Amino acid sequence: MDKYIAEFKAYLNQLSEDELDEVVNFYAEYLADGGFETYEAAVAELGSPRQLARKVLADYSIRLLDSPEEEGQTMSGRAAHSRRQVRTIWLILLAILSTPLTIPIAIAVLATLFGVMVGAAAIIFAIIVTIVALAVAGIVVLGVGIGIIGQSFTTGLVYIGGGLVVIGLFIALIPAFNWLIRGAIHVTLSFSRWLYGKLTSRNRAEKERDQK
Amino acid sequence: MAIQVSSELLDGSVLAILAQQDYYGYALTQRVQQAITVSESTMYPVLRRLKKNGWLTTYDEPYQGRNRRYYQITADGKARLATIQKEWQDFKLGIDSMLGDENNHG
Repeated sequence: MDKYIAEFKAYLNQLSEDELDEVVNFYAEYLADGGFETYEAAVAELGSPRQLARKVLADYSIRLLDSPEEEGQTMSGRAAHSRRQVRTIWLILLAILSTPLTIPIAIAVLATLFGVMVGAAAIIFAIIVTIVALAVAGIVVLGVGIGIIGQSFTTGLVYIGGGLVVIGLFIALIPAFNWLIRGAIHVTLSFSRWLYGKLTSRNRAEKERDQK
Repeated sequence: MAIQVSSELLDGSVLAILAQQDYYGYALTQRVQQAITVSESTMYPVLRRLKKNGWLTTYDEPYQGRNRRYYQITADGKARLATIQKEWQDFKLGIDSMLGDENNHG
């Protein structure tokens, strides 16, 4: 049992000290009270230390997202929020990976989630490429305009004007890009949370109970 | 059990159990599992949330050379419990009016 708790604790190194102590004490006490003395008995009851730790981390991470007041204390800004969302998606994925499932369901779930994540990544990538292309095009055309203004004043002006238009367009579109990227991350997160919620009802205890 | 228990109902159930007496973690988990299907790892997040909202407090008592953490409902917790009970009654009546068997309402 000590070995189980030690391993469980090792997987939770990202938690704050208070949180770590609390959750480790809870499960140590749980195992002691339930009479799960051996490592094997503990695994049979709670799953492997790694599975349990990932569940704890996923729950912890979801809870942080749901409590804005805590958010303000630890990190600020929407970029930080997006980073945390990406982290949560990752933790949920890990939790799903360590949930015991039959192989066909696991494959279906992972394939679906993978598909959604690739889709979101592709959208984000496309947006970034568009941004870069617009910026480069605008700067190049502007540069050409400045270069040839000495030879032909009117042609130079046309190029400079065109370049400025593209750069202006680029700047005007930045909020839209921002919104799209956040949207893609948000949708992926909501989907993985939904999937995680669906799956966590299918654990050992419940299956056993269903069979009774 | 196919129907999912929402976290609000879990909160209410745990608060209702604690309104009768204080429990420690394992016994509380067992008590909930007697009634509904929840996994062993469901209870910790519920208890932590209830504590964070000030609906329960904890105290430690020595037991066989270690500590047992007991969970105790607070006054706020009792108020919260009353709210959830009310909401659940309304919800239950609503669903029963559609799903309930004929004997219940002619």
